[in-house]
Order: sequence, then structure tokens, then C-alpha cells
Amino acid sequence: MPQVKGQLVEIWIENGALAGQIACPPSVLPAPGQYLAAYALEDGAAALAHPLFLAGAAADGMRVASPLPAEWQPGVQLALRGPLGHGFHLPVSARHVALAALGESPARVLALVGQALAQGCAVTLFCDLSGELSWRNLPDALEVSPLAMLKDALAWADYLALDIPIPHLFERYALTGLRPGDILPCKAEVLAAAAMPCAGLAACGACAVHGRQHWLLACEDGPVFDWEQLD
Amino acid sequence: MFKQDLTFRTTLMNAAGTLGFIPNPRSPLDLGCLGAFITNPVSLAPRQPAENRVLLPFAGGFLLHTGLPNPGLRVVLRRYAARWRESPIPVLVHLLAGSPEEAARMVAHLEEIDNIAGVELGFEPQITAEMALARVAAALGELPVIACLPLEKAAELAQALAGSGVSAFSLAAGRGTLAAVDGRLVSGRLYGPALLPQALAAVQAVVRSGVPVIGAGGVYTAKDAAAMQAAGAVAIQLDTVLWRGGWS
Repeated sequence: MPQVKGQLVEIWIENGALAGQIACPPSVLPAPGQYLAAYALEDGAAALAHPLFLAGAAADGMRVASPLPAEWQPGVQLALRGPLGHGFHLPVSARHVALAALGESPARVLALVGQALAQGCAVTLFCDLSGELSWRNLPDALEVSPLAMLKDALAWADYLALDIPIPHLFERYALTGLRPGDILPCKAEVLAAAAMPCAGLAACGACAVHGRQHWLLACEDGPVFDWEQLD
Repeated sequence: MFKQDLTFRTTLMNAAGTLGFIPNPRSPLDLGCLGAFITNPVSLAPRQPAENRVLLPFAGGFLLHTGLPNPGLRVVLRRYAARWRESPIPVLVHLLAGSPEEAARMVAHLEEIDNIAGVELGFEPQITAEMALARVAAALGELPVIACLPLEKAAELAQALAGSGVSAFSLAAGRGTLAAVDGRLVSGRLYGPALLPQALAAVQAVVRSGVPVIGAGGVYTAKDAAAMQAAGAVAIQLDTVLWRGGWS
């Protein structure tokens, strides 16, 4: 997979963390839930690439989910590799979409909003964030509810996308009121958020996830999994 | 049966655990520049990921604790032996042998595979010179053996293993301890440009053994590689610079 150059063109603070917009060739644009491995070409001290997730579409590139490395400034040249991993698959038949995020930011599931609205879906975001939700380009049509309301969403949603850190994966049962082995009332996908240092190159095991049958790697098999794939 | 020679087309290779079990076409690096391919560490029995696996960044590097998961030698051979036979790059298999008996059994399996250029024998950090000698003796056979020395004990072990019949020494990632987000202390392998001074000093110390040394640790630029060679390394293993996306 070739590495291409991109550029960070703008940064902003989003819920206390750095987010931004990059310019990059269309060939590397990730789908929602997929990621790019990126590092600043001028930064010789950078030990690892940073995973960049799509937050939304932008001219000549994409909006990138927070957090970005604090030392990245607008104008910095980036080496980009991707798109990597498996992303979300919003069914074309879906009309009632529930998005939920347990981690530091809902930006990665918000990347689905444009596609969902375009196909006529009603979309609700479930998240608990301190302070005001200050997202750029958040459409008026998006409803926002506390995470505690997610249980009720399973009564009406025909698609659920959940972003949750790997150490908290089991909490998805409490959040939804489901039990292990329950039949899901709708299609559900889970973004298992973790550090992915090898970005799919080495099966290093840092992002290993308990699967139903065997261990899975978020960097390669995910980071988005079908709900049923995970233990 | 005579032991094969250990020769590389170029002085660069990947370090064990950095590029998987087979040369990966998705690598951003031109694999043609590698003189050899080192596999991920392989144990005789499968190893599960560590329950408390973690990545902790620090200035100039990061600590990684994964438990070195792998499916075990039997599965690795079933999945990858055919690909190793077809590899345009010489393949060296990195072995995690817990005893001399395990080392002998694993090497015996590998000797039946074509196109294996040699084995790299890894050691646990607390290994003694006596234990290392016994494991090397058990691993010696038809295939050349590279002893991958724990960085902190490299000089001591190099002296002990100098006359053992190993073809070369390489250096494992250094180890350290950091506090995780929840305050618990985690030990693991250390990577990143900040490790270069420690690795260079280790190369200088191991070179005194008279055995060829493959330098590793903190090499992120061509200048770093040149410093490794100036310290006496005959070849260089690249580690997490490959994960970052290549070197400058």
C-alpha cells in the first residue's frame, strides 16, 4: 500500500481536544470507521503514526476526528497510509439510526450522519459529554440524547453504531439492556477503540479484542465489528 | 549435513515482531531494501494476548506490553511455511523457546522447511548466561542461529555465548516501567528514537565479543543507521520506524 502526502489545513478545539481538517488525495479517504495512519514529515521524533478517523466530508480532503497530536500545527505536511481496517456499513434500508459513543468523542460515529440523512434516516446521537456539544457542521436534523436513553432506542432503531473503548466493551450490554447471546433487534456495529501501534502491519496484539470464536485485532479485523463477532 | 552460511543482500532487516509472519505487501517500506525478513516471535504452544496489554507514550518513544501473542509453531508452519518458501527475501524465524528441549524441537521442525535462512533465538529478560548457553546448544543444528540478547544483559550474555557457535548477535528491545493512566505500574518493551543512545552503547559492548552484531533499537533515520555501523554493527534491524511508515 503506497504512502501519500497530505496536509493539515485547519485545526480547532472540539470538546477540549484538537480536531482538524486535512487535504489529501481521494484515494486514501477512509469510510466512516476506517482510519489512516499518519505522521508529520517534519517531526523526526515521532515514534509512531497517529490514526486519523473520518469525522466528515470536506473540500479536497476530510474533517478528522479528535484527538490530533497536540504538536501538529496548520500547514504541517503529513505522510498518510490507508484507508485501513473495516468501517461501518449503514444498510441502505435503514431509516431509524442510533449512534452512540462511550469514549472521549462521538466524532467517529458522527461521520455516518451525512450518509444517514442523505438516505432519509432519522438520526439520534446518544452520548454523555461534559459541557456543551460544540461540533462543527452538526446538522439541525440530528437529535442528541443522553447515553442512558440508548436502551429505549432499540425499540425503534433499525441500525446501531456504537463507539466504545476496548476495556469497556462489555459495558455495551448494560448500555443497551441486552445480555450476551440475546438476539439483536436491529443490525448493530461496534467500533472497538484502542491504540493500534502497528496499524495492521504486524499483528502485534496491542489492540486484541475477545471475539466469540477467537481473538480479533482492531487494527486489521476491525476497528468496526459486527456486534455478534465480539464476546 | 553442514550448517548453512548466514548471508544478507543488504544490511537492513526488520526486527522480530514488526512486520508479522510473512513479508507484507501493505508495508509502506520497499521490502526489496530488506536483506532478510525476521518473523514475529513464535512459541511452541500458542500464546494469548496479555490481559493488561497497553501502550504508554513517553517523550521520544513508547512502552508496549502485549504478551507477544502468537498461534504457536504448529499453526504458524501450517499458515506460513509455503509463503516462506516463495519469499524473495531470506526468512529468519524468531523463536520464543522456554527451555532447551523446546528450542531443539522447534528447530527440528524448521529444518524440514525450505528457504529458512536461519533462526533468531529470543530470551526472556531474566535469562542467565548458563540458561542461554543451554538453549543455544540445543538450537544449533543445520540452521544458523542468531542470539537475540536482552538489551540490559547484552554485554554479559555476549561474552558467555561468544564461543557457543552462534552466527551473530542481535539486540532485543529494551525494557522499562511506566505508570498507566490509572496509576498502576506496567513493565514492557521500549521503542522509539529516544532508545538510540542505549542501543548504540550496547552494540559497542557486544562487538567486543568478536561475534558479528546486528544492531537494533531507536533507528529512525539513515544517520542513526550509520551510527550503528560506526559502533560496529554489521547489519541493522528496523523496528517501530516501520510502523510509523518508514524512515527518513
